[in-house]
Amino acid sequence: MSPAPILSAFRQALGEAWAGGAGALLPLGFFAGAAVLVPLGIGTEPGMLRAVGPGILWVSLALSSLVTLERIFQADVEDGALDLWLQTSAPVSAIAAAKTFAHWLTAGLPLALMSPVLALMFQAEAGTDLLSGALIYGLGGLAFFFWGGVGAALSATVRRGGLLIALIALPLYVPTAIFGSMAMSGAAGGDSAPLLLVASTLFSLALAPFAMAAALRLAAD
Amino acid sequence: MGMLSAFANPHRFLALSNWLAPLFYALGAVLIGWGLWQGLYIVPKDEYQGGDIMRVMFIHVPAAWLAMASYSAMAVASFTWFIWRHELADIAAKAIAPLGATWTALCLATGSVWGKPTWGTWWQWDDARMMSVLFLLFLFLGYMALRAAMDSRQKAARAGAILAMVGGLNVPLIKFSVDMFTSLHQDSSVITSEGPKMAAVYLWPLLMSGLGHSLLFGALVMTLMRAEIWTRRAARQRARLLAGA
Amino acid sequence: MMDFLPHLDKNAAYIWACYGLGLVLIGGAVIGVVLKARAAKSALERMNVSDEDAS
Repeated sequence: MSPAPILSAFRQALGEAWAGGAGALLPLGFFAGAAVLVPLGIGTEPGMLRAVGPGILWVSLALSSLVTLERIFQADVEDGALDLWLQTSAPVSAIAAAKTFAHWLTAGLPLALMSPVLALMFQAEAGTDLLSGALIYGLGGLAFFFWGGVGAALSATVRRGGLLIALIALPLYVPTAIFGSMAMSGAAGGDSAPLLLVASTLFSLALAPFAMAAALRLAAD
Repeated sequence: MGMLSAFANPHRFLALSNWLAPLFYALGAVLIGWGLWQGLYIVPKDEYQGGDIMRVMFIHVPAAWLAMASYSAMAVASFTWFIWRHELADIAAKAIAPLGATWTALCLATGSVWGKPTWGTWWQWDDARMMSVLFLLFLFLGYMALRAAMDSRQKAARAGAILAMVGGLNVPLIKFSVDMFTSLHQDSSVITSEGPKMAAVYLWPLLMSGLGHSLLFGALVMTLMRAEIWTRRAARQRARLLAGA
Repeated sequence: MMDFLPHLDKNAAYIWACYGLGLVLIGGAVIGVVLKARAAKSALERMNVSDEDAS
């Protein structure tokens, strides 16, 4: 087994993200746009915005992971890259994990880094909480992208599979969304929430690559 | 083992289910009927549980039990198919999905109607069990949508099995996280670590209703499996005819 | 007239709604499943008949 195919898949995924010219701007724009729509819809009362802000950002993060994941494996099925991976000695699960991780780097991490700015717009107090919030969004986003990747791999051969990915992935997002928002709000009994968020993210990192690999083998047939 | 091998062979399954399904229909109807009669006429109302409204329990609790049990059964059937490629296991998983979704929807609907006079709202976000069952419904719907989107039976079986296994492994985590999300819920009152604590007068009708719903569910699954076997046979026949012509 | 029905307290409408939902959903499932099985069986039988005609 050689790591070369894994690295090349990783680099290819990074390249794809920038190939459209927009790079991380596209998911960032979607993330910010979705979040900014909310005050227009529910009003601008500062106390209310402060209360709903973290939750809005979780929803926007989940949505933008779904929107950007639709094509992640479909292109590989169409251009034959998938068949090439299956012939290499590298495990497909590692290739799928590398690709999903690269995808998170370009479309998930920028959102986490951007989250303090949006949090300020949602009337959060400036402080170190914003940074720990960014860390929590980053971790949660990683789990979102890996579960979403399972949905994307399963529907890689389905035309217009975006809605299908959403339906498949949303129930899998539940633990991350719950632990993540509990960790941020510091709710009563939420002391263990950051650890549980880490644990559930690790669970997704451990399980999702194998499910993606099985789904990609199916897509290649 | 004889019973199990009958479930691995479509021909023997057809022979077995030919008499087992009607038996399950009949027993299920009798038990559900008995549970209804007990629940609506015989058992005393429990003022502590809001008066007569607790009589809804004799349909809501069996539905909740079947929602959980049917998803587990679908995940186990999917795993069996994934490892051993027994065609019947896939047929079973495919048959369980719409029926499991039906009982899951029934559990949500009755829970919602029960909630209105009890909690004063049609939907209690703080009730962990209702939230868990809602996500279970989403898992069922995703499974059915994925199977329907695949262009061949073999692909539908594989994709469905992968998703059902991933979902099955996630169900405990989802349930745990939802339990944490809220603390305002009743604890499961039929089985606790100190043994059943519900009054026997409610317990027996409840258990019999649960058994009746399970038998009816099993009978429906068998009937749907028979339909699927016949459909697949007809498709093979059609392919043979086309090849011969 | 409806004396055979049990006498329920103020929440009777909710209780009947629940059992009505059960009747509709479960009854619907039973009817749908039985119809589907009958359709599948008759389709297979028609196929077998046309097979015999052909041979």
